[in-house]
Amino acid sequence: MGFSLTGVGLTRANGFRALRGIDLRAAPGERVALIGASGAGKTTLLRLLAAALRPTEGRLQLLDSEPWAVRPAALRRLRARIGLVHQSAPIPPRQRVVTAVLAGRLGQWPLWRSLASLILPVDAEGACRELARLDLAARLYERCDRLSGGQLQRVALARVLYQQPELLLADEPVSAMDPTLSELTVALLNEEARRRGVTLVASLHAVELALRHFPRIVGVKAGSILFDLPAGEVSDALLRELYASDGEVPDREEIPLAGLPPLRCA
Amino acid sequence: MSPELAVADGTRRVLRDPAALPRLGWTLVAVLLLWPLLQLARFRPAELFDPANLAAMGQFLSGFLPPETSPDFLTLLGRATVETLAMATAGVALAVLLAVPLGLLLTRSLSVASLGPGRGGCFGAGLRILARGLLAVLRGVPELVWALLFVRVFGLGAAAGVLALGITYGGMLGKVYGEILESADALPARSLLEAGSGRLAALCYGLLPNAARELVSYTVYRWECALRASVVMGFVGAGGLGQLMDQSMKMLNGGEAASILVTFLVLVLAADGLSEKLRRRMA
Repeated sequence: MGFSLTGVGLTRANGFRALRGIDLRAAPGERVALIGASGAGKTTLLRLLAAALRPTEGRLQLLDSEPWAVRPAALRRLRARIGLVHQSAPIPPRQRVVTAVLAGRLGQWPLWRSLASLILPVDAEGACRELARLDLAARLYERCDRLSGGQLQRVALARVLYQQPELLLADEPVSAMDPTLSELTVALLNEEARRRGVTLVASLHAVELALRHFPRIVGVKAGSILFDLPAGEVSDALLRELYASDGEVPDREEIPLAGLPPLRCA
Repeated sequence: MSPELAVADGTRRVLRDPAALPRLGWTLVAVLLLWPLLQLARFRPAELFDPANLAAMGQFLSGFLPPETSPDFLTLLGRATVETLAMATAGVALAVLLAVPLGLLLTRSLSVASLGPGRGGCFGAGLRILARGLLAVLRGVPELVWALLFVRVFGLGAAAGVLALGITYGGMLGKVYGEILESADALPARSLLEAGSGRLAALCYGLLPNAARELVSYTVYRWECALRASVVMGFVGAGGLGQLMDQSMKMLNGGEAASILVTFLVLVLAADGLSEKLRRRMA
């Protein structure tokens, strides 16, 4: 259970090395926060853990199976056991909230049940229960384009909660929420993982939020892991190193203008 | 005066849009290509306004007035209208049955293989080429030719028209369905596939909510086209208003032809209204 990555790397088709030499292991019930600058590879790492991307090197094991060695049907079943909360909610604007949440179990339902649910929601109660935890139960039958960005993000979260995955992944799950709501939502994710004993990996921009709620912090920088420490041992110096760009942060005056003279309109 | 730039080294350069010259070039190329084509097609609009030609047209058109309104003819017209509606509707229904599976095959955003591992991308790519080819054959042969073929099987009447419409329009709908689905936002369906959903479920939950309006309005538009196409097919004996029109024209009965044309106009307007209503309903 949990997952294990050994020497995992990913090189994009254009030759860009998005990730290299990643060694990461998590036991069931562990809660890990990924932090790091934009473009460091947090989203790519999460997509690898969701079996949505295939690593170009190394060994990847998710929930005790190797996603890229098994048959397509087995990969589908494995994917149904992994839930990823996307950075921008992948929900069609014209869909109703109830349908968007119930879509979490499409991987578990037979096709006839999925289609029947489009005509009459088969488990409105279940959807309502998850929405209630996020304080959105009143919007059950509303259309998603009537919601604010933060509400939509919570609907996407409710979908993954409804999926009841054994590996819970979240990519910037609170990027569109205010500080109070972010706090509550991150706490909810942690409580869910604790209660069901599942592994949780979440990437977060707000470092204090990560340090407060997650026992284990993984810092990602330029496609590899800079540190993997208990929250208590993450020092300010480490954080500065994590977020500094390569070398010194150049001052405004020092940015070379590639020899171009300043432009002025006559 | 074109805007100029004062550059520090003292030279002055005109601030010119780098896209302007290529745009001008392509416009000239288009005109140069179009001109010989117009010549080849013997398109001489001046002939339209030649007095002799105007008189000939006026004579032809005056034969259409007044429209025929005798009860006998109106009964005939009503029956032919219903037959045309039935032919167009049944033909488009058949076309949709053909188009949906083929259009889905074409849609790359529903490809599980692109998420890996599938049976390898080659299998899916081969299937897509096959479907694309089949659709091209279906719509490449004009419905008139199909109708001529099927009239020999089913005899004179609407059955041949239904089949001809179904095949040609199936080809058109399939191609456009595939393209509409592919241009809709692929992210929702993709995220569902990544969560283990099947292709059909991902289509219904991820793609259709965004694409349904386009799909419906294009299908209604094709139904309207089918109404008009049924006239042409009527001329080869495939029934409906077209056959009636053929008879009236052959008997040089302009009044009857005018009534049939008015009926067409009403049908096209009705299709337009229906499409508008459906689009608004689904907004």
